[in-house]
Amino acid sequence: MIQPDFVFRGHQAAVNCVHFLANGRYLVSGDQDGLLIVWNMLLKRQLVKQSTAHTSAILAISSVDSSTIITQGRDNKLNIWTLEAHEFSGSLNLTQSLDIESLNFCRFSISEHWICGLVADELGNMFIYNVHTRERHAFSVEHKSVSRSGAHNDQPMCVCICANDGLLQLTVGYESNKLRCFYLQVSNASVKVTAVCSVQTPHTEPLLSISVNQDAQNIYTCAADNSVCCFKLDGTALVKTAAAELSHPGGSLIQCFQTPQVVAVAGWDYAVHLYDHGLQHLKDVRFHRAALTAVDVSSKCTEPLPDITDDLVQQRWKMQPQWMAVASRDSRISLWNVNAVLQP
Amino acid sequence: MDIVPLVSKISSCVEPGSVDRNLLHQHLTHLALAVRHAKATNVESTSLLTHITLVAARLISKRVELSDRERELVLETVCEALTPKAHRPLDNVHAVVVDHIGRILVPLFITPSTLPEATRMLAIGAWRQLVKIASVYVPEKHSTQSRQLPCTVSLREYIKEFMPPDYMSLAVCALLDNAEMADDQRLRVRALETLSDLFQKNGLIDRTQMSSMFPGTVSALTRISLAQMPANSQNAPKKPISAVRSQALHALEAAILVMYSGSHTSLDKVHVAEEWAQQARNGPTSIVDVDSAPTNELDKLQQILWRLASLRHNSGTTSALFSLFARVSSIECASRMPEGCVQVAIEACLAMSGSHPDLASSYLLDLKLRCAQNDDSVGARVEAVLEPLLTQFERFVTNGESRQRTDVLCVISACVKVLGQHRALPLVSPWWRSRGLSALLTSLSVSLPGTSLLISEKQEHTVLPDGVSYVLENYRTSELSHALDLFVQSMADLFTPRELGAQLLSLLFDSSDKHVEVLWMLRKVAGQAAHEDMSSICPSAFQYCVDFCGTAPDPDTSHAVHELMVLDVISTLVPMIGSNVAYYMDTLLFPLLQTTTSSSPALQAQAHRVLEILAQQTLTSVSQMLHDNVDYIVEGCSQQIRAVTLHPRVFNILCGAVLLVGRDILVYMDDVVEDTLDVCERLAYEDEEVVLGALQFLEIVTRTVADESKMIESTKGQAEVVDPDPIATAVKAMDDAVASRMLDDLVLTDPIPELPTSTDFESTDDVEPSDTEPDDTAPEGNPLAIKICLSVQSFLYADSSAHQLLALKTVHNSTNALQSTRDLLPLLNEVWPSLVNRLSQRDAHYVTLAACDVIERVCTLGSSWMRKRVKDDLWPHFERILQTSSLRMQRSECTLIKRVLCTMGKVVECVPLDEGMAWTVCVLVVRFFGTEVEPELVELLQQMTVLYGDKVWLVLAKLGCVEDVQPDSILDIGVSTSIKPPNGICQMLGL
Repeated sequence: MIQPDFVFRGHQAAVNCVHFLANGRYLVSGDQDGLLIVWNMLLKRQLVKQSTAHTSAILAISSVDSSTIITQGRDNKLNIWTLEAHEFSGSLNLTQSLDIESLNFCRFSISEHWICGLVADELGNMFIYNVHTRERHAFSVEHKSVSRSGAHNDQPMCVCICANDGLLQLTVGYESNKLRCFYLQVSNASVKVTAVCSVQTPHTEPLLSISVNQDAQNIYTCAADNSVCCFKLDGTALVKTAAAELSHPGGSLIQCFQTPQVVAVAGWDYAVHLYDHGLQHLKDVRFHRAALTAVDVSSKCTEPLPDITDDLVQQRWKMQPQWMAVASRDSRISLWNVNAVLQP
Repeated sequence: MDIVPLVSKISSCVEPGSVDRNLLHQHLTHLALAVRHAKATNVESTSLLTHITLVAARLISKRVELSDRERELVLETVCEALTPKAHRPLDNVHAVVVDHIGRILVPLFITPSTLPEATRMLAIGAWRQLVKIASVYVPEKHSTQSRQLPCTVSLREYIKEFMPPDYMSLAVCALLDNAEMADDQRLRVRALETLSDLFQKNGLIDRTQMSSMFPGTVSALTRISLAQMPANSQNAPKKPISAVRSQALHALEAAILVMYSGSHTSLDKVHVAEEWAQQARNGPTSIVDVDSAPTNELDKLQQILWRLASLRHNSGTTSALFSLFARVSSIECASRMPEGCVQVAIEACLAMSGSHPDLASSYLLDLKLRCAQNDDSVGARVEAVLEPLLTQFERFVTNGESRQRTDVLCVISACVKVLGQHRALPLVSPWWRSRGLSALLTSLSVSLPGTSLLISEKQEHTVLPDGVSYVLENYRTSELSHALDLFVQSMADLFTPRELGAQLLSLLFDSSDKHVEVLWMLRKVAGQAAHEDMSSICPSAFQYCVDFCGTAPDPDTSHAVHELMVLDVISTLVPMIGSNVAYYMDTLLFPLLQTTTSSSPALQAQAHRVLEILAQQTLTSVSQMLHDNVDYIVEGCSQQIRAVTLHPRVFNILCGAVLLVGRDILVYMDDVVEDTLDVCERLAYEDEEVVLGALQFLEIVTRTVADESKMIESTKGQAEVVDPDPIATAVKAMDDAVASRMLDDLVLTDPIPELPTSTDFESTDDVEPSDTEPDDTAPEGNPLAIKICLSVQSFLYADSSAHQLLALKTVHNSTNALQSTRDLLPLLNEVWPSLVNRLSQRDAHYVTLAACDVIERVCTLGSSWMRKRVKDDLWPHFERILQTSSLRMQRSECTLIKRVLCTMGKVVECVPLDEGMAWTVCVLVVRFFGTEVEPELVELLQQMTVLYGDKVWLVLAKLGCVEDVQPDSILDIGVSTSIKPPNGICQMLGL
């Protein structure tokens, strides 16, 4: 059975999220205790260890550029950090801290410099925030679902924002398994929200994660059930184009990657399920001893390291494989050479 | 003792017709002693010499029938008298001395002789001292036409003027005869040494004299060197020892020098070759009149040199031969010597470049420079030598003849050096690229071990200084190793290390099967090059090595040599990489550590060496470096545990890492422990050795956890020190305060400490342990220890006693680790049945003893919580053991009973016993009074007396140990009255 190339063991609690930074030179991970670690992928060592990044569990991590890291904690905070990295050491400086709704585990989403997440005060209210200009707007994606007990507010479970033809496309997954798409037009004073389409997904359990491919046309979803679905945004309609079935229910996170063209699902069954963009099953990668929480793939490093003059280090960098990092509740992060994994 | 009277006495003794042999012998002995004494006490030497000379001459010339011993005594005395002090030649010696001694000594060593070889040797020795005389005093009575007397002349002049004309020729012939014909090799050496002195010292023989005897001298010396006999001789040649050959070559060299050198330089044969080289390079060169030398004579010399060149393989004569040829090639006449002779000199130098590579190159360069003044013949000749060697290189270097390989490699190296880069490169480069490198690599295969048999051998000494050297020394002679080094160096100089390194690197990354050989060469090139020269190839080469280490198969396979070479290259490249080696630690460190446990001592040594070099590079010690990089080591171990059947030794490394790093490693251990427990479960009945390793590792982990818990407890204890005696402390504090006031008469500022109240003491009272549920307020226990203990307890039932013992130790460690935590009692509850069960089985003796240890610890920690378990589970086993044991115990049984009694003592101390059980214990154990276990029994009863004194008293009373109590007055309690406790047992127990 295929084994990981390396395992990071620095966390003492469940690792909830991982994110590659700076073309895969660094990996950022956050755990249940609020510990944030920046790993140097060349040295396979901790570069920075921020033990109180959040006072509670860290739910999500992303980045704007190679030195700006955004973390979301269960303490209802969205923190923006600046990473100052040197060859063998580094530091994280907290530059901004925003209030956000985290009690329902809905992770924030980011597209270029726009951050989108739930607002803490009222259900269905969201905000969009420009990291550079610090411009912040509120809007609503409220949805009411009707059940036998009557109409009630539908809880947004996951969001995904991406750029689409000069517009910002926001996809929201609800507790009722509804999937809705919006276009956001941000002006100086406000944000105009246009609901584009919606669809009732075939998931039988609440949606947990959404991922959108590069051209914003394919939307992938996973839920607490054993289904993985792909929807295509066709004008004003969302059409289900493909589906796959997991061997066991539950996918914490779904991620669509361009290079290589794979869709990865971090399963509760301790395995990463890999599919092509048409959701044809490629491989299951199983190593961890607890449910998986996150997966990320580094981009292929083609450019030389900007701050390193030594040929040897540059060569080492050049020889770095394209990594897939898998986070698990067993407090470990496994690293895989994704191309080796995908080899038949 | 005065010498003059002795001389007179000796003279009188040998008067014709009245030789008193006894007296003569006695006087000669005294004379020898007197001379030695006189020399030692700085008696004036000239007069002493004269007296000795006179008597010696008289004794020998008068043809007195001296015995061999008497003659030897005379010669020894003469030799002693002639030997200068402090190596300073004798000066102003009276002519009579030279005259007399000179005339009598030579005939003594002329052959054929009836004299013993020992006598001839002494005579030659004395004569050798004679020719070292610096100057001679010639008195008036000496007859001469050309000089005004008296005067002082040099020895050379004296011999020429006052001695017979053929005196020196006669001496030379006599010495040559002795050198060639004598049986005693020491005599031959002595004769040749004297001959060399004669040709070199003081110019006693000039070119004119030499010209007449040169052909004969050269022939004789050549014969001696080559162990040949004269043409007319019927005898078999006397095989000379190396010293004889060597001295003959020195003498030949001196003769040639006299013959062809214009002036006599002071050439001492003891000069080392380096000095000769220096002279040749820097000294004033003399012009030799070669034109006057007959051509046929030089041709003969050329032939002789050719013949002598074959001696280069004789290790004893190489130095002398080299000196000879180097001298021939370095003299000024070389440019005008016949072509063949120069060619001989060149080839001789090249041939001997193996043993003296630098000197050979220097001489050749010197020769080339001299010749270049006129033409470029030397360069052309060197090319002429080089070309056929390159053409036939494969044949030379790949055959099995080590000496031939050595020669060819050295000659090519010397040629390249002499020709220089601009001239050698066009010649060598096409050959090297097309065939040379490939042929060399093939030749290296011949001299490298093809299998790993050798390096798998166990050696007595476990630590070897250099694994690669150790291996290669068994496959290459030191000469060949040196020649290879030289050759690689010359190629690196020719092509530059950067280019040669690039050539090798390209071979390393293709599918060549010569990786080992390429690595060897790469290491040589890198080892000799400057860091900046290797900067372009260093990363790729190092990456290859690191990748190889990461994927190297088991070192006991045929890849061992490959791995050895890789490690060697790593150790060479690490200093060039510098601090950037940190980027390779994740892939390099673990394989290195693993190799240190290899079964091959050579690999072990090499891996240790690389670790040391890495540590030096990171400016730390090896242990600190491992400590700093323990995450990489754990990861390496973790990967191997997942494929443990391929890496059965992985637990050794893991154990070493835990022991080295201690508790800091525990943060990385969760999944490793999980994987290990999986291994234990999966292979429990399949691979005993692997499971043993796994259990050892788990035992060490629990021990580390226990140590950490203990440390935390002790830290806590330090923070909250409980005063054992608060009253005494308070009183002492008050006394101190009062005393301080009395002494200093100061106003009291500090309040007097208050005496403690009764409530303060309550905290120190023993609290009766609860017999109910565990304390929920206690901290949680270490999950690692709990997990390990619960899993490992199944091995208490294992068939292997080694597994059982490790499981017991692990349980013991785990209970210690969980001490004072809320998880202790649940854990004890889980493991107790398995633990007690060890007493019921027919286990190895030591397993039962170990189980008793753990039970004792468990009872101590569990205290009253163990009450029912002791009664229901433990006591039945102890009761059975105590009841079934005979009183005449064997050693093992005795140990077991002692252990059980001790454990019972501890249990009685910690766990409250049921009344009935306490009674049974008392009744049962007293049967061991009067046996070997009595001391342990007394200790147990002492413990019992504290809580169950009445029961102990009653049993002892029944045994008649209590005064005023009749045993019969007590009802039968099931105790045999034949038991005899020791006297005073009640006092011992405090009853």
